[in-house]
Order: sequence, then C-alpha cells, then structure tokens
Amino acid sequence: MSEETIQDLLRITVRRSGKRAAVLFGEERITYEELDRESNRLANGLKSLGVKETTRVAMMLPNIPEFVCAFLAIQKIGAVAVPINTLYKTAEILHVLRDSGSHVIITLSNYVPAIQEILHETELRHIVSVGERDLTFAHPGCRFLHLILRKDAFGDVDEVYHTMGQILLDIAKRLHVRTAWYKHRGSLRADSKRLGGAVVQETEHDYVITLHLFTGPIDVDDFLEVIWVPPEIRDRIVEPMTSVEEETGTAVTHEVFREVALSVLNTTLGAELIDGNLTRDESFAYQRTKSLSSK
Amino acid sequence: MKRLRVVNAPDTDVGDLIALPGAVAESRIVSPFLMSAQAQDTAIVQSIRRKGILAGVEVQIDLDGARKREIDVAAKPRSGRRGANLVGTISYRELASKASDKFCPHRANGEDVACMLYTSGTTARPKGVLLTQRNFVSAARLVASHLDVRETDVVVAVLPFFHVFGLSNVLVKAIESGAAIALIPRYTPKNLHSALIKFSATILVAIPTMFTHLSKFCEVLKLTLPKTLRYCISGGAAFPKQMIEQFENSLGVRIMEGYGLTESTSALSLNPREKIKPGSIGTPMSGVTMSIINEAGTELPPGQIGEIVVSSPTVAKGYHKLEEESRQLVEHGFLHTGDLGYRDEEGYFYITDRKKDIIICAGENISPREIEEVLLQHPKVEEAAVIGVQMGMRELIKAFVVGNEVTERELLEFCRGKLAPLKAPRAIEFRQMLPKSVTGKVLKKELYPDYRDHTVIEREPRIDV
Repeated sequence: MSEETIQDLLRITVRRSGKRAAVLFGEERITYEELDRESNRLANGLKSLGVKETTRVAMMLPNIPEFVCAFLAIQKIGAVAVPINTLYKTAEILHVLRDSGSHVIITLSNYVPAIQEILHETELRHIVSVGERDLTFAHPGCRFLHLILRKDAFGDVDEVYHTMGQILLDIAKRLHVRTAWYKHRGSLRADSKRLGGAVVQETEHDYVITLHLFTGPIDVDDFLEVIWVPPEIRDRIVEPMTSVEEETGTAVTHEVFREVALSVLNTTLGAELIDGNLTRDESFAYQRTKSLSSK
Repeated sequence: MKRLRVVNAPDTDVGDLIALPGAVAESRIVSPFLMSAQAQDTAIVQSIRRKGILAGVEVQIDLDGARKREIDVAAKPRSGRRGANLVGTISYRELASKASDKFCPHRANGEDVACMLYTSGTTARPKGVLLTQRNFVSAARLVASHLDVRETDVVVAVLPFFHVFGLSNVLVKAIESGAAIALIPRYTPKNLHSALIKFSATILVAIPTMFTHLSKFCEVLKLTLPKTLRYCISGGAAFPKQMIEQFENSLGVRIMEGYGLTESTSALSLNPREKIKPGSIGTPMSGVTMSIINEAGTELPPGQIGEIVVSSPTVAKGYHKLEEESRQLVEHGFLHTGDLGYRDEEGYFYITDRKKDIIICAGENISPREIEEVLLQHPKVEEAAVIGVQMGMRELIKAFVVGNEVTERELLEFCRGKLAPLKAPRAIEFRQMLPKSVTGKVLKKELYPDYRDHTVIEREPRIDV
C-alpha cells in the first residue's frame, strides 16, 4: 500500500523538520516532534477508552493546540474525526452526535453541561473535557445556589441530577413561573427558553453543585462584545433566555431568592438548616483562590 | 443528611463563584479526618453585584474591553488532582499525560474516512460529508500548483478548524509543508492583528469579512501589517472587487481569492500568484477539472453563465447514511457545485449566484446578486440580500437591507432607476443584521417567512399530573 494518509504527511514532516515549530499559541511553541509525541500519548489515551478503527470521535473545540493534537491522534488510531461547530446549539449538537454515532466527544468544559443534557439520547460513552481554556459568563440577573454535599447522600449521579432538577423546578414554581420544566441532566426552561440550570462537579467524597436561576433579565451583548462575537451570529450561539421577572413581572431580590431556596432545600433534602460562616481553614482557602484568580 | 450549614453571600463578585464553593470543597479534601465527624454539608446562596467572566487559566481575555464595559474578569484555578471535576467526564490532560508517547499507528487506506464534516446546505439538518484520507492528502498537494507553502512559513489559523476551509487549507496543508500554525482561538480584528505581528506571520488565510475588518482596524489605529506577510488567501464567501482593491492599496499585501466546498475538501481553484484577477475565483488547481455546463449538461464556451461542475480527487466519498444524496453527489463523474458562474478566455472562473437562489419571474431567470449589487451602490446601504418570496403563483422579489436613514420608497425608486422593471424589488425589509454562517455567507434560507429555528430545545408534549 503506497498511498499516503494524513499521518504519513505528519511522519514525513517530523522526519524532515521535527525541530521546527508546528504550533504557536500564546507563549507556547510546540515542535513537530513534540506534536508527534503528544498525539501518540493522546492516541494511547483514547485507545484506553475503547476508541479503535472507524470509531467516531466528536471534537467540539476552538483553534487550540488540543484540536491539532486530537485530530492527529484520531488519524493515528484510524478513527474518524467529527468536528462540531462550536456555535451549534444543543439541538444541532444532538443531531450531529446521533447521526455520526460518535462514541467519544472531546470538548471544552463549559460545553459539558449542554452535552450532559443530551447524553442519554446519543451513543456517547465518554466526554473528554479540556478544562483550562473555557469561558463562563456571570450576570447580576442570575442568582446561585451552591451545594457541597457528601456523595453517600445519593445513590448515583442520575439521582443527583434528578434532585437538583426538582429543587430548581420547585424554586421556579414557588416564584410563580408556571411554565417551568426541567430536562433531566440539563436545563430549567420556561417553554423553550432557558431559565436556569445545574452544574455538577465531584471530588473524591463530595458533590460540588452549582444551581443557577435567571431571576432578572440577562443581557449578554456586553459579554459578546468583549469576546467579539459578530452581531449576525449572536443568535446562533446564545440560546433564547428568559427570567423570573420577564415571566411573572416581579423582580426577585437576593432575600426573596434565599428564603424560597432555603424553604425548598428544607423540603427536598429534609435537612435542618443552620446559618453559618466559613471556618478559618475555609477562609484561608478562599483567600488563596481569590488571589490566584485576579487577572 | 441531618444538618445543612447555610452561608449567605448576597454581595460578591464573579471570582467568588469559584472561590466560595471551592474553599469549602478544598478544606474537606485537605482535612480528610474531618470527613465523617465534622465536615458539614453546605449550601451557599449567592448573588453577584457586577457582570463577570470566568476564564480558564489559559484563556486570554481583552481586559481593556472588559474594563470599559465594567465586566470583572477572574481566572479559574488550574485544575489539579485535588480540584473538583465535572461528573461523568475525563480530563484531557490526564488522558494525554498518563499514556506512553510511543504509538504504533493503524495502517489506514486512502479510501478510509478520516473525517465526517457536517454542513448545513439546503436541508434543515446538517449532513455529514465523508472525507477520506486521499481527499485530505490530495487537497494539500493540489494547492502546490498555485502557491508555495514552505517550512519557514508561519500560517495564521484564524478560521475555525471545524470548518473545511480551516481544516484542510490551513491545518492539514501546514502539516504537509512543515509550516508553523499560529492559532487564534477567538477571532477579533485586534487578536488577528496582534497575532500577525507577534508570530511574524507570512501567510494569512481568511474570509472576506475578516479582511474588511482588518483594513478598517488598521486604518483607524494607523497600523500596518508586518513586512513578513507574503500573501493572503480569501474564500468562504464572495469578496467584492472594490473591497479587495481597497485592502491591497491601503495595506500593500495581495489577496488571492479561491473556491472550494466541504464536499470537495475545500481546494478547487485559486488565483495563481503570477496573475491575480480580483473578483475571480482563479483557475482550477492541477488535477482539478472545472467546467461550466447548461441545464442539458453541455459544456458552455467562455462568457456564458451556467453551473460550475468539477472533477477532482478531493471530492468526498458521500454523505453519511444518505445513500440517495450520496449517489447524486457525483453525476457522470462530475460534482455539481450548485454555483452559477462563467469562465473567461484565459480560463479564470467567476461566480455569479447560487443556483437555488435564482428567482424565476414571468419565466425569466433573475440573478439576486445583480439586484444586491445595485442596492449596495446606494451610499446608505451596508448590506443587502435578495430572495424570491412565493406569492400565489408567482415569485415576488424582496430585498433585506441593513442601512440607516433611508426609506423603503427611496430604495425602491433607486432600484427602478437602475434595473429593468421585471428585476426591481417589490418590497424592502430593514434588518439590524443579516443571518450569516461562520464564513460570512448570508444564510438566505433564514430570510424566508416559513423559516423555523430547529436549534431550540422544545419540551416533549406530555400531560402534567
């Protein structure tokens, strides 16, 4: 077999000019030799997830070194790359994942909640998340409820999502949003507009859960200007959103949100609620993270 | 759970979104002996006072732009073994760092599918185009007849790799030639300009809107392009001739227009460097046969408008799971591009319209592009898109216009003064913007009155108890 393939193109280049730069990104400079080794490592990693010849591997990534590396790793395995437009919304992502029959998706961690929401409708077996290059927006019109809970309080992750969905839905109903509904593992919506959602993380023993609810109108134009999304594609990347205030005509203060949220927590989790503050250890950890986080 | 500690955080900033729950979670990991007895389950009720962006440690944010709009910016902590991970995910870093750096690659075949690239086309649902190993390798090699990419080159990758143009013409082409790829993860004219300078870029592959932005950006800030930049390549959408000339005159770098489709792994034609004709998509690359045919399938002589058809080793194997469409992809050995155009005496090709966009009025074929060009001549019109709207038995010409301080009546009269009565639009609708694809093509299907957005998640019908 003499015909060339993409990995042959790489092999020839590595042999001829392996020390030359392949990828330049911010302050990073990756040579062709390094790219070759890095994609070998990832190919081994993907193989350990069961990726083999003809397995479809979806990639929903912007132009970052991980895209280059993943594309080459997929080629080395003889698998099939399925790049997904990062501007696609959930229903389009679902179509591509289902139609292609992708078993693995490599994506930024801030797209993960969208994937989780449709996971059960796809053939996906693994989500590989690239965590250092993601981007999240926060708006004062959005209120948050974080829960740090021992894992043994729940049977499995599905139960966590189920409980969290119930909490979100109950809060919304108590705030008189009658059309609110929750899609398992996903978002809270009023009709087809987003009203909130849940992000579930885990450490060894705990779930670290963040619920958010849009209480007041969210205007995202500022954000999109900072990250420079041209106006004509804004509708494409932002799912239609609504808020409690837009649905009911009533603004929700922090105090009202707190009161409703705590009452729902009390009913749903059946726990005694005790007002408290961060402990000394927690305050130190808090200060440390805050000082690292200032840009 | 018996007790839940509640922390009230009414007045915080965006960094606290991570720092507060993070602090609680971290302390519980650090002091595992507390786990059973003293670790408290915690709820934090939080509101933030200002808008904010949380960015992964390796993301660069336009801090000035954020400050101007009073948006706080905070960096997420680097994810470590101790930090919290999203449930049900595997970290890329761990996957790539644990394994060996030796790998015995699978021996692929030229016919094997390398990539399934989804394209929207005319149907509501995107179709998966099956691109083979041979398609990509050929695409990288064909371009050599028209331009030289060397291992000393630095190619700017501002086009997304999830689109065929960036994937084939930038990523795979650079790997084939050993050139360096300078990555721009998020496009802004400023990001693009600083990358060109920072990496001493030699080749810029982009779409018309990016070139237009870049020339405006340089004009306003009185900036130039680096001397290292050898040439630019444009594709993805039509680039009006006067705008190419404006870019070249003000910035002193030539733009070569090219043409390709997802179904042809991009590469089909390009202006050769020796003789560039602005407004033309250039000449076919070596190994590509490109001709113009009429409805009957007969090849047309230079100057006559017909459909562009091509035969090339880069033409896709088919569409995933769509047998009928796959069979129709290539007819009598030729890929029908759906684009209308003509060829000049020197073998340069020009595109006039998309075939499906042609409006049929009183049995006459009308080119929306011709009407759009007339509208664009009006000084108050920034953008224009013309479609045919079904009105009973006939099609009515309707224009969508982006522009200020101009009335429908004024524009209708303007068109009547410059177009045959049959071609003049009957209605004008003003829009803030026109729907566009990532490459800047106007998505005309979204302008039709019966267009339905398929991208929204709807609740499955069910009865609530």
